[in-house]
Amino acid sequence: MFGPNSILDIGRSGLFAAQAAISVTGENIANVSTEGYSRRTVRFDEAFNIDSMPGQVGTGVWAGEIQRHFDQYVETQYYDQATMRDRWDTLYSQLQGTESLFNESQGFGLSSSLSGFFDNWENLTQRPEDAGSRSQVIEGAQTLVSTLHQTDSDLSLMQQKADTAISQGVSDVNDLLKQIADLNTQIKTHDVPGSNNANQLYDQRGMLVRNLAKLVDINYIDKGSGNITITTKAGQTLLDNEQFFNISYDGPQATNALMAGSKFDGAVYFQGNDNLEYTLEVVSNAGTNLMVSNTGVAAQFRVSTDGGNTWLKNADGTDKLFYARPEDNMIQVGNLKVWFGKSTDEAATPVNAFTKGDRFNIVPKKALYWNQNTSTKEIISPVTSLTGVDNPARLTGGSLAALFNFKDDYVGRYREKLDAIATTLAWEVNRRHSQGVGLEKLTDVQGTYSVVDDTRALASGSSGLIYGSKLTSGSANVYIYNTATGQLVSGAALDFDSFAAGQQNFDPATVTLSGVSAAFNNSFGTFLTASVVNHKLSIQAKSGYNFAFGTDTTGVVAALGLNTFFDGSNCRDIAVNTKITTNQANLATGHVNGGEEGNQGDPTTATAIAGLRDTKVNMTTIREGTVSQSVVKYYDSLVGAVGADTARVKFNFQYKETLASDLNDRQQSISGVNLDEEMSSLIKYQHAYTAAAKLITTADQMLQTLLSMKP
Amino acid sequence: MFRVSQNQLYAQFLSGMGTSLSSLTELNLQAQTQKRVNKPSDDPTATARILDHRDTLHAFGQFQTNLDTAKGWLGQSDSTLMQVSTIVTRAKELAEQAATGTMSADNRQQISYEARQLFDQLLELGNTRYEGKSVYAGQKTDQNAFREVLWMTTNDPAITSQNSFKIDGFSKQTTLVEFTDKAGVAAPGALVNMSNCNVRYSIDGGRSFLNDGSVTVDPSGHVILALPQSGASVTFDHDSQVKANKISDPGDATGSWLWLRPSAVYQGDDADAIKVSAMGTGTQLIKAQASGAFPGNTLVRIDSSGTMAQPIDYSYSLDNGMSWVTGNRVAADSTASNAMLNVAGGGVLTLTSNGSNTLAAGSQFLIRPRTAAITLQVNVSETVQINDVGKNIFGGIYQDPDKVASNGGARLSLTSSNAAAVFSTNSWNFTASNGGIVSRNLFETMGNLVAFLETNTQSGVQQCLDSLRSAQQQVLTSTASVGGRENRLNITANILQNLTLNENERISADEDIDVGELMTKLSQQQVVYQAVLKSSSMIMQMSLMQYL
Repeated sequence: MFGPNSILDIGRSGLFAAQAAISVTGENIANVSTEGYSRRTVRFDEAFNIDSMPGQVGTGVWAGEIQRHFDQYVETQYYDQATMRDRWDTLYSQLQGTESLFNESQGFGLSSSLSGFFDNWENLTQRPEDAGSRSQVIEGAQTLVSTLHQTDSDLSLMQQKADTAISQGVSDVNDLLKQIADLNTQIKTHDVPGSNNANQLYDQRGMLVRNLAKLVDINYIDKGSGNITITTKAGQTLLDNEQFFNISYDGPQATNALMAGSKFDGAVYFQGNDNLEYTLEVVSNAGTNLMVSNTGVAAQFRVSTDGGNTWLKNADGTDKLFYARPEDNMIQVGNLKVWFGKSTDEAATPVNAFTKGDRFNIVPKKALYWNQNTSTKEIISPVTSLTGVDNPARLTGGSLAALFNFKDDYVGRYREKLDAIATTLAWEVNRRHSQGVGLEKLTDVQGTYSVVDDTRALASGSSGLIYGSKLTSGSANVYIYNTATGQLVSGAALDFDSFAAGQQNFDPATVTLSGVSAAFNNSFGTFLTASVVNHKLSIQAKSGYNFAFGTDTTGVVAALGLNTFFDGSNCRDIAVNTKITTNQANLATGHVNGGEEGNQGDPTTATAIAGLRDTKVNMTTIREGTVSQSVVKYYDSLVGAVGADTARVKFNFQYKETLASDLNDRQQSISGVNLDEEMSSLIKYQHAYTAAAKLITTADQMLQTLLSMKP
Repeated sequence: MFRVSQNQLYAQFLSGMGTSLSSLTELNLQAQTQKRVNKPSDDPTATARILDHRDTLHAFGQFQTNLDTAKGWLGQSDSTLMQVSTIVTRAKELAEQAATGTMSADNRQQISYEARQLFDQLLELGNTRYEGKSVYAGQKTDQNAFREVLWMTTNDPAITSQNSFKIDGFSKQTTLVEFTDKAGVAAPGALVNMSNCNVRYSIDGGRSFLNDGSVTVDPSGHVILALPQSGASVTFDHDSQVKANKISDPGDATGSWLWLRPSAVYQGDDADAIKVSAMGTGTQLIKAQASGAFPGNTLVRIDSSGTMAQPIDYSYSLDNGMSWVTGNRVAADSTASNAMLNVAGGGVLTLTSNGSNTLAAGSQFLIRPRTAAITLQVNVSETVQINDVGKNIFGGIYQDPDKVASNGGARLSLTSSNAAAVFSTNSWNFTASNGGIVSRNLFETMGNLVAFLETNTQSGVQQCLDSLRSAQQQVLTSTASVGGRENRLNITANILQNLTLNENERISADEDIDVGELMTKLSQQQVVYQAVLKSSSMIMQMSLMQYL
């Protein structure tokens, strides 16, 4: 039935519809710069028609639904690219800071300190007795040492900052998960798809999920009706509708992964920390019980640093095997000291045997864990294998993965290489210096390297002597002089077994620190006294005598820190031996020659140390095994590696950035607000409003006309 | 139709401006530092190369200073030896003059004053120092190379061959000593025990003799000749026989005469011998000797157990045991009674049995040569010796270092049993017939010349002349060696210069920018930046609202 009332109704519905459209357009205009806002449009439905004369008649319009323009498919693709982009972005900005530490372009830095160090020794060969040249060598060495300290501590500081950022990131992730879960609850309450779309809540949730993707890599599963599940790419569930899980950043720990049926009642314990995760696997030791013990028949295990893909190898390619020892005989594995104890008591020895294949995981650093519940957790820290492939069972994207990579794989590797430089430099210089003679002969000398136990063989893994693995068999020559006349009194090689006839050589696998002390006393007891003080060797000449060291084919003089140039063995504790800084005359430049003299003009030892610049030496790191290169070239290649890493990360970042921003553009083109469009919509709806208002006016006039018909 | 949102537009403007501005900044940095590589990531492989080259330049710079120091040393040595040669020529002139029969005793005495001055001058030249270090003392650069002492020449070879002497005290005048029979019955030239002799000596060249000398035997059997007014005394190791002189005629030469005259003891280093010591089980029953030119301490290690007749596997190390050259083998030889192990670049180690001919694996032999050379590195694999062993140039007396070192730490006084004249011992034994004292030993010869001039012994002066000719040859040979080294340094200096230039070019090729290319890029980038700014601002300003 037509009539002014129905026209009024139609007009009124048009008005309301136009109003709704204008307010939605206004909303779009107001939110043009709001991040995460997707534009909305009103869907108009024609109101139902009524059967009437002359046919079905319409009753106006309804604003049916406020639609949100958003492409979830593009968004999911964007998460994948954005997470990688943010990973490379974070990594790049961190690496830029690291790169500046190694920036030698101005000519100052570790490279010039190293060159200067060798220059000074070469200079010393011209005038070995000159005080000026000597103090130049000592000062140059101290500059080198402090540069090493500084670089290492700067890198360490960067790791600590990354650490803080990780903690922050972890709490951000947990926070976001909670917020998303809350939103999900609200969406469930408010969202009625098709009529009451909770658009703003969806937008908010979209923002939060984007923020989450920045931090970790996610798999976003939309189950419809507003239900979502978010898991990591590796499969751990982070969020399932309103239920969410936590991730945590926990300290070092070790876990067992025993074979089924293994009766082993112990656990692995460790001391020290490292940036790598260690996996120990018991290998069968044919013919013995697989027990933890102090003897030679203990079980043996091999070690992997990438979760079991590759195992540490000896120089000849066979697996490197270690003994399973109890606490008092803990063994050096990589950068850790490892032992096996009972599950409840780390000092007690386990009584049951291993089963071949039992594995133990040691995480000697803080790592990321996914907490399934209060008692079960799974490690998800990013791990890159030694071949450079990301482990897909762990976190692979987002800035959290980047920070872990930075801390462990990049800076961890640089620090390890710097340590290799410090360790090798100290050893090689000391090895040559310890066989030389300074301007004055020695009256007393204190060893600078200590052992853990005076009665353990020096070359065994448990003696605690840092350079114990470098010892070989042979002997060391010592020469005794009369202080007053300067003439030789006695000169011979140390006899390490006074019971057997003749002079016996040093056997690194059996001789202990006490044995070395006894060898000195037995061979030269009339002229000097050797004793073990604080687990270090100390030698005092008796009154009227002084002594000098000669050719040492074993390395024991350098390994114990007697007559050495450097003290310490890594970037943090390397220093110039105080015996040399307090008395320049102890800087050894010469040697005891065939005429039994150590002459001041003799530059033999100085020449040998200066020659280290070009000599190939063995540099060992866990990640890269042993390489044979000169120290200077090794450092140069480290700088090159830093540069290459930074350049590669930058390239990856730029590449992913392009992909991500392309997807973002596509999303924007669907859901972004265009002011020109909104302006024209505004005009359109304004006209519609005006027209609808006109309709009401018309209906009103019609009614007026109708009402004014009766006289 | 592609829909563009507001955010998209502005994001695009910002990224466009940012990108071109950062390119501009990068080029600006390059223009500022004139380097293409400003941080390692700009070109990682070039960075490693650049650092490498820089280190090589450091090394070359060091070689250059080494070379300059070497030039200083060798230049000093060169001019010193030239002066030595001049002095020897003058000494030859004096000797020629004094050798003629027309010279009287007074004439010879006048010449002797100049001869002694020449001797002193030679001693000073032998003790030349450069930068306060002795040039001719081997590695003992803190001591003088030579020290003046009194030594002895005698016309009775039996005295020096059957006995040994020690001279205490000092004098600047040759003392002539003669023995006379205490009993007074022996004929001139007859053999008498020293303990049964009286001694008379002259401190004025034989004009007058003093009788206040005495011959005493001390409790340990040493025979001591006390010569109070000469400033010296002679101690013989044991009693031996001497020829008695004519009591009435001091000029009679049938008896034993001793001339106590100046000479020089070499206090420096030598490189003449090689010591071998052994380390390991059973090595005390093996005798080891080495010969050759070992550059420094060398180790030889036996790798297979067995006797000397079986094949022997061994390794050697030239760097004190830090690296070994393995895989050397001596073939089985059942006929030889010793084993000879060859060390490449060094020499030969000979092992003989001294109670056992079994070699155990793991035993090591340390070959320790005496070293005297100071060598500086002047190029990558080039070294030059900057000093010399003085006794090989000037001669003199040298005390055996092995004997000095085996005296248990006490000083060993200089006697003829532990010291010898360099080159030969002829210089102590003077016979009237030719060939007695002729030798290349410069100091001994000059000492003899002074002795014979001061004691008016014409035939001695003649023989000294022959010795002086040989000695001068010795000096000239050494001068040539120094000169040869100096020439080598000049060539090396040139090479070093070229190498340094080369390195600098290599660094520049990797590191420096091409200014022309940079300027072009800079202006190009500037245009790009301007274009971005212009287009962005143009689009930014347009909007529908301007037209509504």
